[in-house]
Amino acid sequence: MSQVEGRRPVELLLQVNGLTTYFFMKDATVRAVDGVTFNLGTGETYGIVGESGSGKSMTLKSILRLVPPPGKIIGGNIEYGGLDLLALSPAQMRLIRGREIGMIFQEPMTALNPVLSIKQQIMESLDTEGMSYQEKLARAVELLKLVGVPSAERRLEEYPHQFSGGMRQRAMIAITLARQPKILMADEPTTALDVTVQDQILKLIAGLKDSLGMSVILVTHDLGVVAQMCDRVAVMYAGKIVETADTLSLFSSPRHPYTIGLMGSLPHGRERGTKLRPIKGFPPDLTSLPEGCSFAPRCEFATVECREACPSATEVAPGHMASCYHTARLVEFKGIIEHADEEGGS
Amino acid sequence: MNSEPEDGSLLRVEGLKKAFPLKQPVIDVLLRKPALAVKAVDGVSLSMRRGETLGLVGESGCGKSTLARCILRLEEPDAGKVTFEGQDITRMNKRELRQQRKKMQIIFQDPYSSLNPRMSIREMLEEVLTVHRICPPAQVASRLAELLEMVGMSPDTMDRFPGEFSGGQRQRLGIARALAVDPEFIIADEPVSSLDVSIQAQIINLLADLQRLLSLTVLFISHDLRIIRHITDCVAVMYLGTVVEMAQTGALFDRPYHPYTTVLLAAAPALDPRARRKEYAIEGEPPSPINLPRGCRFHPRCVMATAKCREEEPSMRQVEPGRMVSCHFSNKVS
Repeated sequence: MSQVEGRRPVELLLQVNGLTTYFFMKDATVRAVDGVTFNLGTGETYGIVGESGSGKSMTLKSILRLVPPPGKIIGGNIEYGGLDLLALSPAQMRLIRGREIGMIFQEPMTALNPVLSIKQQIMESLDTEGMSYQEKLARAVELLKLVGVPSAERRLEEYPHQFSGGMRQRAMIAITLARQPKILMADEPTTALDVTVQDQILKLIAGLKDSLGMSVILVTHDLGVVAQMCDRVAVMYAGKIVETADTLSLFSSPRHPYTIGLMGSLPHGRERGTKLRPIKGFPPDLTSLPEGCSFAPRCEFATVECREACPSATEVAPGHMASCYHTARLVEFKGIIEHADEEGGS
Repeated sequence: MNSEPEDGSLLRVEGLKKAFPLKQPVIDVLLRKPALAVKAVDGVSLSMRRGETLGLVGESGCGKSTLARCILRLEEPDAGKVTFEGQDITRMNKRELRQQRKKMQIIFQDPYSSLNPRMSIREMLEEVLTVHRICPPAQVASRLAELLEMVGMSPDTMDRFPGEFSGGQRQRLGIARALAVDPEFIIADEPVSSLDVSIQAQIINLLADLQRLLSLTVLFISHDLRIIRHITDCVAVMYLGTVVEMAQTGALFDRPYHPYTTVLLAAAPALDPRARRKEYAIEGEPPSPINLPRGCRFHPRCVMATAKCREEEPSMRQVEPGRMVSCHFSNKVS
């Protein structure tokens, strides 16, 4: 694949090519991730946005090869540091998880161990070779302070249930940072949190990314979170990336009908009484996707060709890809922000 | 708003309180320690005009849902009064309350747990119509079809069960059930929070249409400020069991007065990548509703707090027509 990306990153850290993960159920096959291609640059925050069942979380799980059965990665490659992650042995993969690529989840309570103290869980994740207990303890305190947990020394002794939702997510981040990963993958990290706490956690992730020189892949359903956090963004629908662009271009000139529909569904105008423009119909059934474009049944622009063959990604502006036959017809659509003159980003 | 004591208001809530006592350890009982309680709603007053949509916003645990449940007496309030068309709901007996429920209905957040999985749509709606004797038996069938059409569902689906529907369709059915009794007043408690964005928009449009079509008075509870801004006429902002600010929706979003409202608006992620902020809106998390801070309950987190705020709890006062704020410095905030 020769995808040209906007603001081409100085150095590519991770390249995902044609990643395909299917779930083989008794009587059906769920095409959860269906040929996903993207890359992540050093120091970049890459967003993956989509609705439930679009395959965004499973893309992250596939990258770490944590797909639960009956799911199976059946195609593609994931290049990281000159290695193909999909070709590594399970033992080699264990060295990648945590140390190179760390991950945080939506509900930290289910990711944390309820019977171990926060201290035990952080110290367990530290690379312990040659470290004394005192050194490890000091490092654990340092990490907990780094993620903004007040009275870190005392709270280190506590258990997950004594932490609030926001504090748990901080603790989860501290545990993940203990291994100093180069890539932090965050799967809906703030969805379960209140808006003021979400704000804190997002700013924390952005700050840590800069200060520790990490790169971030952020999965979310919230375009507001994307707008605030991401350099580039991919929109997923039914297991495929349907559009990818730098964030500003996506918000000012979306070129895929699904992206346009998502934006039309969001109340962002000021006027009360204006109608939202929702996407008609329902999310697709991943076990029986239609021939051709998966979005065609819900798409107001769909034509005969859309129902016959799936469109491939075309470049509509430098670094801005959309998988739609009708991108030319969509030029007139403005996104959420008025920014029509600056196509594609610089 | 509830500024002038005009009786054009349909619903009036006065000094409503509801606390949930915590289970006390035996030792504490023997030591006669005072019992602790979660003060979920701690003195809320508001009023709604007929046909108005009032938004209730606030973070989880601020008492939004408890307030809603107290208004319908799904929860018995400890103190205060709820009047609907001049009648005191809090004093009604069971029979009167059942009559009253014809006028007041609720739509719940979770369309998966609020529909009985063993009842077909027909059974569910028929039950509502018969229990409340809404229409003569001969007209039930046509009323059912009418209800389903009203919420955008095909009457063919009548004999199916909730499990066969998607989240968005179930929420439509929840709305149909609430509308079956032809109510005047609806509480929508986070009606779209568990739905995907594209489906959310369908339901919001539906609610807005029905509100106009049926001249409903709606109390719309949500934590999503974008939706509140879109669908409501007025907004009440809650923090730790009290309403801290109430205003016309446009005015509130353009110019919040209460420091907490300011924080809440600033914390919501803007849909504009050019409007990024590095600093977060507020530190810390809301304190526990068991041990409320003295004075203004927002003072430990408020950038404007002074000695007065630590001592004296501000009362709700009108700072301009249609705007009530409970802050000692509501004049200085902008």
